[in-house]
Amino acid sequence: MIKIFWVEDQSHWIEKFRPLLERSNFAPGAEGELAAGENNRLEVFRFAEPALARIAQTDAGDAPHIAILDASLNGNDDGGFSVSKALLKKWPALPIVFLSEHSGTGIEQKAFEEGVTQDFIAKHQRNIEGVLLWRMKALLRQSLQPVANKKAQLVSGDLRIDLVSWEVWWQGNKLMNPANPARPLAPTPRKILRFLVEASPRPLTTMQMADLLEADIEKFSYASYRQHIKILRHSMAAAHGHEQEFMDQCRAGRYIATFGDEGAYCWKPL
Amino acid sequence: MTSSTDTKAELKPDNFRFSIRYPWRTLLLVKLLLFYALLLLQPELISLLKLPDFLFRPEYFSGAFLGFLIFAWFDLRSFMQQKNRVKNQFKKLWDNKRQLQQRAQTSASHTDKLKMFISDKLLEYIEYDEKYLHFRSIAAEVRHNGVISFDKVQSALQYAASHSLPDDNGSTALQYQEALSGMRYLWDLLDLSTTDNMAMHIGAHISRCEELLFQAELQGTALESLPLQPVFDPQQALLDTLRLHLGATLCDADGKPEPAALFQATTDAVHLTDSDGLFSIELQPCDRLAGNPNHLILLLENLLKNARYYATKKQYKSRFPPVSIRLWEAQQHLCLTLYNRGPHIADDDRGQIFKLGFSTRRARGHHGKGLGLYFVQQITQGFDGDIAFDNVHNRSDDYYLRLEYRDGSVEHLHLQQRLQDELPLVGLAGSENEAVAQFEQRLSKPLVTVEISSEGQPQVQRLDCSGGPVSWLDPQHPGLPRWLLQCSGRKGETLIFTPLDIRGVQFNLRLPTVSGRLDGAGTAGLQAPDVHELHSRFRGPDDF
Repeated sequence: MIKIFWVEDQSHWIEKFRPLLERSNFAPGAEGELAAGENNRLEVFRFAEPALARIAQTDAGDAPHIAILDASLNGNDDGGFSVSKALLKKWPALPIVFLSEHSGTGIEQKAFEEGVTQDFIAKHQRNIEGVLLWRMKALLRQSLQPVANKKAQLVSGDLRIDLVSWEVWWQGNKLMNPANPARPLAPTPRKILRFLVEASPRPLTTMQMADLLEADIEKFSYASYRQHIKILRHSMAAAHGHEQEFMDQCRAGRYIATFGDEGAYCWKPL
Repeated sequence: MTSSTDTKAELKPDNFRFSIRYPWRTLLLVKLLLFYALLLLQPELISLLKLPDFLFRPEYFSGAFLGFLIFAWFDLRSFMQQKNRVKNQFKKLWDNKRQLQQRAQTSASHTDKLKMFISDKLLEYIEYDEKYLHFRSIAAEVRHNGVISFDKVQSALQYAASHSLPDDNGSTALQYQEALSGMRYLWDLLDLSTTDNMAMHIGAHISRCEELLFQAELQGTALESLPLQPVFDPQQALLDTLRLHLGATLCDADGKPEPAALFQATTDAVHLTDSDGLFSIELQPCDRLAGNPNHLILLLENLLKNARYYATKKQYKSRFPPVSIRLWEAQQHLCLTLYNRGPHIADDDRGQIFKLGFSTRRARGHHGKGLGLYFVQQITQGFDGDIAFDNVHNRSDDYYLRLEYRDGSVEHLHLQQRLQDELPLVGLAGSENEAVAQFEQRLSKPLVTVEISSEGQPQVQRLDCSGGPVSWLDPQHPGLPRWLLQCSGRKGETLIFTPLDIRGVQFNLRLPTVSGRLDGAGTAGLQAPDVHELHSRFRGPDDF
């Protein structure tokens, strides 16, 4: 059972999502609904003012697990922002989801720029119920399972790989596609990095990597291995800040280092 | 001297002189002559004035009078000439003034016209911008207020589609499904119309879909189990565009209604057309795309509407479907070529064609000018793809025909296709007859087969003519046939070869497929090779 703090000015959405939010089982790894007699605790507000008053009155220990906010409240485009800021001031680690019809507009841009939300969900999309639950579960996973979460992470020096969400962080910056920083990094380089880190300090040859990736050896040659390593290095260099410095380190045999003449690479943290 | 003065006068046309020398010398001479006459009439004055007597002889007076008349005539003539000159100068001056005035008036009217033109254009643009902004603010308001209505309609249609009772034709559920698709398409249009940057909006959506796709790939989960479908079938999007949004009734090459599962069941290319014979569609098996199918539908709808506009114009009549669409996959990219019979796009317009507000159509009262191709480019950018166009020209070629008759004899024909005013004409090689638009050959014996090959397409094609009259379009290029071969007459006694006019414009679109995205293709894969790299020194593999 979790506590959900919800601000929504239109009753249609409250009626639509209330049974879903009350009955869904958000426990990590759980599927389906809660057992009979059990409900998630929902606090629903239609206006920003009572929501702000409630935040001010609530004890720090009685924090909600997650907040769902509508961006625009009763014609005020900043309504959701003010509630979000108040929530984050009191509980800085609280996951917040914006559920709005203003997806793709300046409001979404502002929400991410000001860092008042972790996610922005469009109300009008297909299968909105499924999308909302799935995103909430993804956000709650961190806060509800802190101990298990640590096991699901691979940390090596400044590198952190989340083995559930597969997000890769270098010096606190998320790795993205080097050709277009707005796009995510392709899956194969992420998998390669994981296998390299797990095998470290041993190197992995092309054959070994093909085996781990369960790739067709006909298709996965040293050339493709090298291409993925190149993408990975560029992605990490972009996250590093000083691209040349990172590349120089790689050439000097650190981080993602070339090993021997057999088409092998090795992960060597500093 | 005179000529140099004239030259100066010519050089300085505005240097007017209005002074007139009065004929005062003649007047003085008249006075002297009168005084002379007085002296003659009053001789006592001569003695009084002590003048010599020989001066006052009558013949001297006659001579003086004659001299006076001659001088007066010259002097008066000169006076009259000066008077005329001044008169002419005045006339010229007035003419100059009038000319200047006229010039000023013309300039003024030009300025007025220019002002009118600029203000018209300005008004048009202001109106255009205002309309655009106005529409956007309305759309934003509609979106804000309409989201609940949209949700209700969507839920109702979903419920109706899944609960409708099967009827005789099984069409009720389909109708609900189509209504739902149309509703979602409308919503996506509204969604795009309220964004500041269409390409960024679509790009952000695709990025989200890509992340989902990657999650599924990394965690080994099936895409079908995801709450949001991050991929779609581009073939289906193309067929939906034609059927649902352009109202085309599709059928296969033999005119039979297109079975829905036809292109899913086979790995070969599927050729389709529509009942109006407007579209020729070739669908090859291809990978799925990441993103929202409605964005691709909007792109295709704009391109196809443009193509249909030219296809239905009288001057572009053709003997094959005037719009040709080909969909296939190459190097992990979905490729689409779309040919239309529109006029060639000038090289000067090459950089302009996809810009907002630019249109090749000059018709007045044509609304929404220059929006379609702008949308197309924005959507393409959003999909990390690229779009370009080529002007399609007719080409010269040599055709080799091998005619096989029923009695086993064989005849060879060598036809030359040449261009005249860009149109293809054909004639027998080596013949002195002029090339014609359609080559006809009377046959003395029944024909069994015709084989055809050309310089441009050496592969031999074989046509069976034994069954009677037959008409055959170039099978090598089903979308854009270069020739038509006909065997006419009841017994197939005439062979007709017609080179076809294929002038038009072809748009080429490339979008990275799902597998391309998984392998990290996309924008990086589309970049042109760097030719400067060729001159660089040798480097180890890891330097790259």
